[in-house]
Amino acid sequence: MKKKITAETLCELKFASEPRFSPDGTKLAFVVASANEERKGYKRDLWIADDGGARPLTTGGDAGSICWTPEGKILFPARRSAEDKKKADKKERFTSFYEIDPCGGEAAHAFTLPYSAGGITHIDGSLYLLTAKTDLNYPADDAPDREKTLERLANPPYRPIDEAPFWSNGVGFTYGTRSTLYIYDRAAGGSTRVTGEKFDARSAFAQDGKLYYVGSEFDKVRPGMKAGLYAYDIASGRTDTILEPSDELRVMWARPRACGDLILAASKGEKFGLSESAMLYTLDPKSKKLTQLGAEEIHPCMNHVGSDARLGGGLSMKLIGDDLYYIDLRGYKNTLVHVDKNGGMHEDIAPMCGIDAFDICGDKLAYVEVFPDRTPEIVLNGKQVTDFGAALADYEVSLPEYIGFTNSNGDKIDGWMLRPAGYDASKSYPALLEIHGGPRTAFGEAFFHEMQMFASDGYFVLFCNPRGSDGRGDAFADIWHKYGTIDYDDLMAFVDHALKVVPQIDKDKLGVLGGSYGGYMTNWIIGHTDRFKAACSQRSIASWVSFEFTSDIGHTFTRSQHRSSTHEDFDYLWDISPLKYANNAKTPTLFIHSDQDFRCWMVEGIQMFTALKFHNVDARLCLFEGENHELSRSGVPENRISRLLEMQEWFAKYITGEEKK
Amino acid sequence: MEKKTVQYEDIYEFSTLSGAKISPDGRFVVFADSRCDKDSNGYKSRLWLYDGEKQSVRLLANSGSDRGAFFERETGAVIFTSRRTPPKKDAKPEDVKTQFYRIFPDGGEAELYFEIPAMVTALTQITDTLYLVRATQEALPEDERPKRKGYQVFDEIPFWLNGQGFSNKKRPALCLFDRKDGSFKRITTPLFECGDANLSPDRSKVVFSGSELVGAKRRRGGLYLYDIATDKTTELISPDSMWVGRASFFDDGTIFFDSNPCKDSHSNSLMYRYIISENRYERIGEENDIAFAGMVRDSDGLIYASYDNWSVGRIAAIDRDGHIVKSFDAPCSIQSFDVRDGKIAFTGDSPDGLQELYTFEDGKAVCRSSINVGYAESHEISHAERLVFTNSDGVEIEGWVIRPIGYEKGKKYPGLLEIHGGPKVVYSAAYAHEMQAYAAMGYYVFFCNPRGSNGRGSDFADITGKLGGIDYNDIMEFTDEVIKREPELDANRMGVLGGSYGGFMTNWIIGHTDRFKAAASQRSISNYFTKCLTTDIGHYHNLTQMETDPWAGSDVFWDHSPLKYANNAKTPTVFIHSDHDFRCWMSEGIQMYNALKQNGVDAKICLFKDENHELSRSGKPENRIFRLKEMGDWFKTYLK
Repeated sequence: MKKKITAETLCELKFASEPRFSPDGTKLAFVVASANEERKGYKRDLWIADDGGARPLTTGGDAGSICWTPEGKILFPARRSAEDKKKADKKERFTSFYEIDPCGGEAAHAFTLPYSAGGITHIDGSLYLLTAKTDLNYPADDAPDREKTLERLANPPYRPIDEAPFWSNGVGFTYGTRSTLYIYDRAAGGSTRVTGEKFDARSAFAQDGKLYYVGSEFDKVRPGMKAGLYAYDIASGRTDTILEPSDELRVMWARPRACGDLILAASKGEKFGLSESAMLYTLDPKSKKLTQLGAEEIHPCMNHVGSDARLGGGLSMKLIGDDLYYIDLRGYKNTLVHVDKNGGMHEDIAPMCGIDAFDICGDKLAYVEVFPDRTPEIVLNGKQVTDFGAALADYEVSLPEYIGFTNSNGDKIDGWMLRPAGYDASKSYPALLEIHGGPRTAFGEAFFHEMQMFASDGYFVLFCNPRGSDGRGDAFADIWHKYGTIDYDDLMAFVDHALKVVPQIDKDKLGVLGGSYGGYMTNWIIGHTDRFKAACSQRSIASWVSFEFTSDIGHTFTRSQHRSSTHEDFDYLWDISPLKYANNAKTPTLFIHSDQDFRCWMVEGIQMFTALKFHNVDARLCLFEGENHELSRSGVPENRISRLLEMQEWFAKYITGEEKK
Repeated sequence: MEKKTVQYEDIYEFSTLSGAKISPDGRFVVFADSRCDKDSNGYKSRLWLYDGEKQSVRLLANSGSDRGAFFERETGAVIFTSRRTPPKKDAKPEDVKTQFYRIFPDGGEAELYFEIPAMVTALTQITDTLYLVRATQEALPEDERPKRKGYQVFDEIPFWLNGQGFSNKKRPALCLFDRKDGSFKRITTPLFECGDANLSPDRSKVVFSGSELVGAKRRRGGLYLYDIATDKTTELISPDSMWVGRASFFDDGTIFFDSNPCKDSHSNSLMYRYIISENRYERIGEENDIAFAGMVRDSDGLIYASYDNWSVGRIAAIDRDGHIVKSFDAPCSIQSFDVRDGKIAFTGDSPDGLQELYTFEDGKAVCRSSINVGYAESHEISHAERLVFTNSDGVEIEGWVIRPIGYEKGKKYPGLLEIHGGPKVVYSAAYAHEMQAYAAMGYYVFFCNPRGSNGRGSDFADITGKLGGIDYNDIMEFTDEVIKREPELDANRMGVLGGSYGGFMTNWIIGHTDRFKAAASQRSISNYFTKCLTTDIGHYHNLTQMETDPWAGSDVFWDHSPLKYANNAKTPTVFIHSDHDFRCWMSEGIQMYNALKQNGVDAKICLFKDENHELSRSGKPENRIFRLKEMGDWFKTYLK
């Protein structure tokens, strides 16, 4: 008898990510993460795979990223020494890097840099590129009262904020901070600051003596998507502006091709405005001439199919010579595609379910493959070298069954169901409609722990990709200035369709849940229909007005999604705010929100919760402390489990009528 | 002696007084003084005893955490709360308790008298061992409370209260404590929110107001009578029929109570008496239109109430027909008062003066203490000159002008318009540290009590449904009046500042006029949707202020939100907000700040950690000084 997947099963799962080839391609390093014993965090360790198989390399639980050195060793940031601890206690900003040799031996301290580095990548020889978080208020080494200033920076009695936005989800308060590029010379032992004090760098890539980066300088107001493209000559230290920041062209990233030009992803927004997806261009660095790559527009879609059984990243894109490889979301599968020098498209790998990250070295290929019945595995040169799925061997896993349909507009809407555990066709079962966030993301068939838990709990789990979702191009994603119309219609039609094709679903025992845009939609749904017996609205949006003036992306997202803003058209933003319809809601609703969520700030969940309580509708708000918008995917394991249990208990109480304790 | 100018740091040099209580024999008055303390970055409070026979004041208790004093009936000793004994090292946060000490006026040190296993907010002696206690209590039994760590559970509104933090399923309860056996029991039901509570003259019963809060707090409250001997509570008036507020006794057979008329958010409560033997109540004192601050019953069966009469504190004695039979005016405001056998003592301030203890002799207030005299005499305090003008609606508006220190006729000075909170409170002529500090920096400081303020009756306070209308007009006309009367005030270098409702008004002002060159908007309101749907009083009080709700009246809500006009604002504004302010939550300051900033207007927001709506009055001293400095520096940049 197989075991049921529960909330706590989360602690048994291992999540593989970040596959990276050694410089000679003979070894592949990757990261494996899992909940730690206390459930208060995650341990992340490096593994090595080669022809002999895969095995762990580090055991400290603190190695979460990989940078291969030209000598074939691996650098990763960590804090292990007494020196590290002393610096941390004094609230100094620093990053210590440790180095481990895959051939043997424990990791040793490599070097410590006097700034907070996010990522490190090797450039050439002894040069490394680092992106650091710098703080304009950080005291100089010789500043008076330095210790007190550091203490105050770490624990300010108040925050003197004069930038906007001043916080960022997952980062915290960002006023006075910038993302700064440094080049560290390991041989010489010093860092060179590449970007200026007020410059905020986004993507950066170095090759052949030049560092290309996207970003912009700002003083008080962050410029949103507007950014310039710059080239820094490493030898001379000179920076050239290739493209000035402009409203007409939004540059995402750029890479130098072997043929001498640049390939870049940018959007002019000519057809779909601010929300138009980026397209591939080539740019002549001398003439600044921008040319569409290929006869047909190529819009890389590097979004991952939604899942909570994933922890860690990895490469989504790599330019080798003139050939660009990237992970493309096609419909609901992540496929590895290859665009050649002239824009010819080749689909190289399309595994059954999809891939999460990849790396290429010469003729060698490695990737993280996702599955419907287990957590991701590492595939090296065509062979699966890990077996993390073994953790689920004794569990009853429900495989997703495709129940897509055609909507009234003639669009194919992809959708699935998971059958409840112990499914018996003669019985009837409650069902939960899961709604993804974004809205420009997509569900697929990747293993989703939360959904499996509900299936194990005896529910049908229904999920689809309504209009607005990703993977189907800009026209399908276009719900801009149409929130709460065609997206809502598709979701309700999907439920109708599921009820039709699966008579075992009890239409009087339906629940609805979703996070972020999915939380917005859950809030919208309860104000427009009583068909659901319970709802769980997570990290949601209740009012586009408060969202515009509190979210870290409020100023830009409102404009890109609604083609409007509060001061341009309050009436329209109020009309599309779920809060407007809260007085009609009758569905008992559980709200999940996190107090460090700066994407959809807690003001949203609180307004909607208060509106329901004001109208005597059963509601409960769980406010997670210290968590952010990513609670369900990378929050503290104990909190992720609490969140799942709260949802289970709520649905049990209001849908199936059980009292769970 | 050369007088010093008022500085931000002066908050460490003067005290605020409270808790005046008269001894049973009428000879003594005990009161507390609280002062900012630099070492602890907190407050030190101590007790003073005024001896009416010797006509002198001496220090009674001085541990630094002594307050809440009252006289023990039988012995005349002073009982007070103190935290002079630090909690044991292994004490758990749930092991909350309040320690009561006893000290005799005629000598000896204080000794621990009894401990109550709760956070006591008020205590009244019933017998020599039995006490009526008000304390916050959990509404759910321990095994029903949320157990999982890492998150808060909210399932009612409000779920947080300014100054108390998360309050979900906690209630202000009425309890009995017996010192004999240490027994402590709640006499109100678990979900009951107790309002006012008072002992009957014969000490056999307790009258109290309140209602059960189930799901959502509503504007309702009943009247109840608790019999101490039988431990039975009788509901005299159902909470569904009234919103009873204060409740006390004229005599053992007659209860006094008042009730909010519930037709708006500004009208003063109506007075009633309940005749116990006849199970009926009737309206009394229909001629009165006043808002009680404090209330004390005296032995002669009169109820003494303090209230604002214009900007002056008045104590009125009310008989069982609700008529005011005598009244006494304080020099300025009244913070606390007590009455015993016709003797009245109060803590209050005076025009340009700081707080002291006063008694009334032959109807006149006589100052009895000199706690703040040293500070007052050694510092240059700029006089607050009263002005009254008639606004364009024919209503008299009272205000004051403080001239800058170093004022010289013929020169020009920048000015600051201060706007009080409330709106139903009053400014007075008393010494106000913040205003004096800015006057010392060379500013005119001027302030008024526009319509909406307290002290002038319900009609004057009526800005329900009109926020940003007649109140705004009065404040602008007052500013015009000050400019007219003070040619040295530079109308091109004026700043505006205010907190709470004053922050609402500051936000409103910058969206409607450019006449001010800088603004400091504190613990403000910017968006009535978020104000009503996130704050501790939002969904019942502010909603009533709008006279509609966000669904039936979204236009009204938006029209009255300063955020609506933020795109018109040009005034550089600094926002002050505290992250534990649950009265006007930080969403307010944040929305207005972001709106200005994205529109290219210079703005700054100072978010204070672990402070609440009372930052400027009882926040950590260092933070109070940071606040004054941030605003002062802002004005210096834009007005000087």
